[in-house]
Amino acid sequence: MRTPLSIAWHRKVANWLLLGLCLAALGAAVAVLLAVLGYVTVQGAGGLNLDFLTNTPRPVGDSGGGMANAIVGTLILVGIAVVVGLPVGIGAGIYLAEYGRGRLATVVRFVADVLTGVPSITIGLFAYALLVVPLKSFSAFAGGFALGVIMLPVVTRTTEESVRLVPASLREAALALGVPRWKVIARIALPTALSGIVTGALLAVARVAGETAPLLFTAFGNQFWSWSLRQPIAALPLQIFVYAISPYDDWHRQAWAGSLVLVGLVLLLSIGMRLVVRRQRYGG
Amino acid sequence: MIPPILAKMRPPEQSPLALADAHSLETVRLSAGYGERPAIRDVNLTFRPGQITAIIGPSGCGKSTLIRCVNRLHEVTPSARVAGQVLLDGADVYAPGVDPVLVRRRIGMVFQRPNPFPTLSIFDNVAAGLRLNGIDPGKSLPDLVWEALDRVVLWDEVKDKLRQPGTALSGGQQQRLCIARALAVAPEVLLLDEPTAALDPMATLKIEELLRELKRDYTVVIVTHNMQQAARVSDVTAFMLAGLDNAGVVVEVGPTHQIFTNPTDRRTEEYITGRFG
Repeated sequence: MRTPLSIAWHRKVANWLLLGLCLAALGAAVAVLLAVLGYVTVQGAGGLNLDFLTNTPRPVGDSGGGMANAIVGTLILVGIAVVVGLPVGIGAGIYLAEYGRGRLATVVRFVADVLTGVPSITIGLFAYALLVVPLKSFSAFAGGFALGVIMLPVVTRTTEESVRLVPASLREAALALGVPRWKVIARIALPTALSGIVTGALLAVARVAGETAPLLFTAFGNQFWSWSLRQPIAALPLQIFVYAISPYDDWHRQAWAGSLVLVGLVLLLSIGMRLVVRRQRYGG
Repeated sequence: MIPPILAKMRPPEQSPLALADAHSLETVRLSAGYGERPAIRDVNLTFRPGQITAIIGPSGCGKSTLIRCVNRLHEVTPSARVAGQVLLDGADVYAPGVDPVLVRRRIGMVFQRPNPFPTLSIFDNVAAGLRLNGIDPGKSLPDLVWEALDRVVLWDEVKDKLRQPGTALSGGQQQRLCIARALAVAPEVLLLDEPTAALDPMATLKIEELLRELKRDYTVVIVTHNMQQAARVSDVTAFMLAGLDNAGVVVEVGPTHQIFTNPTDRRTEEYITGRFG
């Protein structure tokens, strides 16, 4: 029997149906994202002004004031989280990708996966028990530490995946030049995997920047400026939480503005890091 | 950067890179495999300086494994095992206490697929071996990069884009870049694992011309699927074949013209006349 030149109608229908389903799913996903961003922008833009970005909160009843201390507080907390989470996470990821064959690696991988699924409030409790109770004080460091622990498994696994994706041919090329193993990892595998590692780190940072629960009893929040790592510190998500559940319209506006700033911070960070990575790509 | 004056200079009669004396290489009862699975058995071959030795044979006969044993790259693969000796100027590279890293510096290798480092520029790719190994070349790095690129007849094609990534070049150029990268660390032996398998005929021709140049200064070993290539470039040809247990053995070795015109072993004749493989 000859093969017909035109496709049977039911295949065409099946094709259109599947394509339609995929497009619908895509549309739904993008629509939700745009709706969230759009709503936050519309609601937040009203409360966003210089006052909001430069002042600390005012007492109840006083209108005005802002979240400057919370913006700085979030940056400090994320900074601590990066210092705590990134080196350990990247190191563990490299170990898993380069040397991880034995039982230890299986255990580390399993623990990392379990840790990814642990509710963030549990990690907050862990930081509370480990740092807040012994030091008898809520502190920026405890909050940053909790965020760093949340980052850890994400960074570990994305680093592992990125380093593993570096083609064996590149490692062999370097080894064949008489380059020692550790240098092949440090100078060939890591730079090649850099964009993947940065993406993973950004994902982790974006996730912890908006975390509220683990900060409740670690960083605790603060109505005033604080630069000390040993004192309670304000954070945008905490401030948003407190303002959003308050009965005051002015605070609601500020909560929306705070959300907008938080989203903007994460966006800026992502764009900035990508530019840096792209520039370094062929710097040699 | 390259001093502009270099771009105008004519290559010297004898490039200093060429001063690296070619050295003899010999395998003695070399066997290797992966876990329980054997790949080659009792390979005895001598690779002479100033000659190109081609290793031919059907897929899976252990050609690649053989040369990967020579520069101790085979053992990088998990579960890999090696027995026997590889003598570089009479010294066994598998002797206790020998550092595989140093072995690989003396025995360069070029792979089947061109594999320039994607994060490095053309210049840095050539300089990579020296930089990563912290070798003091005893002269300026730009000079050495120029020499290596000139040696592989790539300088004129890339002199204006040394800062561009090595992966931006064509396949044939990338492979010559990889050869330049291997030569820059001044090895004594050059191993090539099907270096033209991924290249078009013109690029293949250029690599083959280059190999004929290089054999004056290096001991060259080339693994190839392409019998015409072996006939064109090599002085000595070794024919390998996998036995019933899949372990590759050397069936016949001799001067290339003899292997291709008057082989003594029936299996060699069958292979080169295209009856299998």
